[in-house]
Amino acid sequence: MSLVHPALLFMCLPIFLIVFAVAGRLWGSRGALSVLVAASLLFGATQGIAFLIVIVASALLNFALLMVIVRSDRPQSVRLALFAGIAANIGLLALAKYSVWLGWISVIGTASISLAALIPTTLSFLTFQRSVALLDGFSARGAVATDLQKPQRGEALSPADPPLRFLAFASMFPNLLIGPIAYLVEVVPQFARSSFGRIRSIDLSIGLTLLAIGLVKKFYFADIIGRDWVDPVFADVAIHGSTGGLRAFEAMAAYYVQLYFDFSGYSDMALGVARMIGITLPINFDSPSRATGIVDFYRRWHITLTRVIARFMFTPLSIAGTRYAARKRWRGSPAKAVALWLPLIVNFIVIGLWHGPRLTYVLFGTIHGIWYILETEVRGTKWWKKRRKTIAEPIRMLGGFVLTIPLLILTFALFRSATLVDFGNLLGSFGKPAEPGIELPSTWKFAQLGLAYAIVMLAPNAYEMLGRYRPGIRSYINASITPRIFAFRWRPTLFWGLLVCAAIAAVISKMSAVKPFAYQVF
Amino acid sequence: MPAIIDTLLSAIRRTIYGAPRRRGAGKTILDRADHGFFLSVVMLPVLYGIGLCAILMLVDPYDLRPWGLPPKLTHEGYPSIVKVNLVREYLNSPHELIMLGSSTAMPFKEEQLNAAFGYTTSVNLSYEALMPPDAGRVLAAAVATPNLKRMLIGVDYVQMRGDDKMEYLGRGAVASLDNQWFDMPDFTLPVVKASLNRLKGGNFDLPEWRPEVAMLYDAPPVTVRPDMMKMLDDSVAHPDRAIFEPSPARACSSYPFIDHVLVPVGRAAMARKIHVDLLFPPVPFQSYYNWQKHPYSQYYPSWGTGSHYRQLVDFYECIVNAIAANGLTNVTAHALDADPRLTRITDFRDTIHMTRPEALRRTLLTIRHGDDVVTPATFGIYRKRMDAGVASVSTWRWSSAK
Repeated sequence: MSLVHPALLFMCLPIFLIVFAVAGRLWGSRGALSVLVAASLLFGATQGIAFLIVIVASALLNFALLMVIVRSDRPQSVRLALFAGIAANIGLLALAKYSVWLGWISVIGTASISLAALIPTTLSFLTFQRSVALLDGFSARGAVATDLQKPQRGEALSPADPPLRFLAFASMFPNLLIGPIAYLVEVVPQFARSSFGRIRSIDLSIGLTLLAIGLVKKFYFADIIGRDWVDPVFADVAIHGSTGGLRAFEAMAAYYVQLYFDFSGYSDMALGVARMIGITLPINFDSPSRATGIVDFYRRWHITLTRVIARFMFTPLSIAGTRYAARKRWRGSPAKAVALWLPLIVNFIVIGLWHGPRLTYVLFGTIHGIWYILETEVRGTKWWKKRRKTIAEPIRMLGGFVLTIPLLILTFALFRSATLVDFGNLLGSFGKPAEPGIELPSTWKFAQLGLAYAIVMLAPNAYEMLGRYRPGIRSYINASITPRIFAFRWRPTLFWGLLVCAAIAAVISKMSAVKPFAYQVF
Repeated sequence: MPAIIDTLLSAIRRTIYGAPRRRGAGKTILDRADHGFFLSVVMLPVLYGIGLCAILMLVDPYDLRPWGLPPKLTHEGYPSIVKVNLVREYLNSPHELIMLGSSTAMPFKEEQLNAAFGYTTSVNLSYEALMPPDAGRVLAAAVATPNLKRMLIGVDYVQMRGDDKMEYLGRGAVASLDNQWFDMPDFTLPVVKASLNRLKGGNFDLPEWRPEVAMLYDAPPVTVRPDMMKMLDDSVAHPDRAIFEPSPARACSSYPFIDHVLVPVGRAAMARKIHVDLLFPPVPFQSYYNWQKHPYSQYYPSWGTGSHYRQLVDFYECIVNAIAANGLTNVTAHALDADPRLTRITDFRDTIHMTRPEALRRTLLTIRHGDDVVTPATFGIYRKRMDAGVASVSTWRWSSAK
């Protein structure tokens, strides 16, 4: 079950909200939190009993280790608990996800294949969220200990709070499957707020709006673009080794927006559902199609993964590299190579590999890493710094945009291809005539794709529209470049109510066929 | 007037751009109501969705949940999209005969099947573009149907596919077997309406479905369609030369249908003493010229070089040999496509779909009597009959005066 299932939206969610509100009123925040945990575990059970067992066992282990980290006075124990926790999390993820690469190792391979068969659902997001919680505990021990224990106003201290809060954070159903990956310090303090356990009409209004936006993105854009433009072409290339040149180009252009609508749609829904119970999650997408460079792109695309990798992998690696270069008295390029370039490449390869055991992901990460290095180097040159002052900002942005988007389309086509050969065949199809018997997409379908691009380029994103009501936690501040005429601002008024009403009504007619989210397999 | 327009524009700007409220706003009832209306309006579709969901959860029309009302299906047939979702429901109820095939097998009605074979609970589960992966899944589940005595399986050129592709309906049929309680392929207004009928004590049915189902049986013959007749005429008058040219041999092991569908299903059926009839569906001989001249088919785009109909016959030979080699004594192959009584073009609604009720009845009786049974020993005769049938069309010309 995922957030787009009608059974969840129209049966489980209303029941959950009612029980949550009743529990909150009768038993305060602990009652509401218990309902949230129970609902999340039931949601986890719909992914299979094996999934449920694994996430509960992993949550209990992580909680025990987190307690050691935040409460132990012995630095050695703290470090040991941190490394053990991260090793257990990454080990579990590796076993469940990389069986293709681990299969040749006798015992581990067998365990890996069995686990992968038992748990087809992705563990990537929740594993990262839990690992980051341990790191949060390590880097901010006092704050985390307080967050886990601090009672709600008017309530007494209770030993039940820390495990309950951690379980709620680690398995909260809106972002359990496909993120956004939240920090413990972002979510847990919200459980201690005096308003937690009460459902406020403004939260419900914001939540329903985000949910409606996400549903429209999924059913009216991602699924339709995937069905009409992307899937048949990539399947053709995989089976026959080629396709018509125009179709190949269209599929590549379409996949980029399909993936955006699919993944950002889920993120909007997750934020919306969490907001209904008063929880604000971090924003995951911030109009990435308007990025003017790869650096800008990663401040807008899958933000919660980027910031985790940057904080917990790039930064330590870069610090270590800088120290190493200083020890060796290296300067210039060699120093940069170990302090910046190498950590960046590692950073991006890990981002690629995080998606799964495929060479296309590794190459995708490597290309983005090299691109990132080149861009930061060019932007750091004196020539560019002098030159950028002489170019008007709109022209500079347009230039960046023209350079960035085609390259992103190309690299995301690599990301979508199952093998490097498929990607080569896709590129090799350019210039080939259309295959006989394949009809060109209708004008309506072209209009639909055009509309999708117009939306990602011009329309405000959900968080800009709802900005006045803080719909999500911002990790990076990106200047809005939405044209003024399209800079709509949402308010809980009749007009916006009618729009959200129309969106939900339109989506209901499409909900019988639920396609899995692209990121459900990562 | 300008003041009114100005006020109106200002109101629109405030509404869509969220400009600060004007002084004094919120004092009137309308202003206050405006804010209170958001949730009231948004809850309308939400409540509608909850209502749909509640009806479906109560009735469970596709038998996906452990609860729900007992099934009450109509014998008038269902549109394909509904029928594939009912696969689990059909297979959980006792049936003496199950038919499964592609569109060529769809027009056979349950009453025709009952009359031809003397059963009372036959069902035809066929849907467009049945492919090996979904055929394997549905047939494997079908073997376990309570009280089952006979299975009719339509095997056409789509079953020659070597990949694991499934079409929309095939995916629906497989999903029907795999779905869990929270999956809701039934979340559509027509299904909810039909469920309401069931809730009132009637069948799970909808009057709007009848014309759609009737189109399958009452379609006019292809001979009244000038476009198709012109295409067939041209294909025969100016044939592709390759129609009688040899085609490269394809190993029988390259057909997943044989190893993954026929053999396991045949064995499982044998263990349960179920008879299986494999049907090579009748096709007008003229159509083979059309296949040769216009080889593209979205369901089977992989014809090799040389004669296409002979590639199909080679596939059938692999099937007949596999039946014998695996000792599937309960499986009989019926080569209906070489029978001149069943391949008359006037019995077809288009180039491959037989729809005339009389012809359908004749086909079923031919199967019942085993007139066209083909075995490894008689396969040579069948091959010659096919060659002769196709060759005999070379002088054929259609004229509406005929």
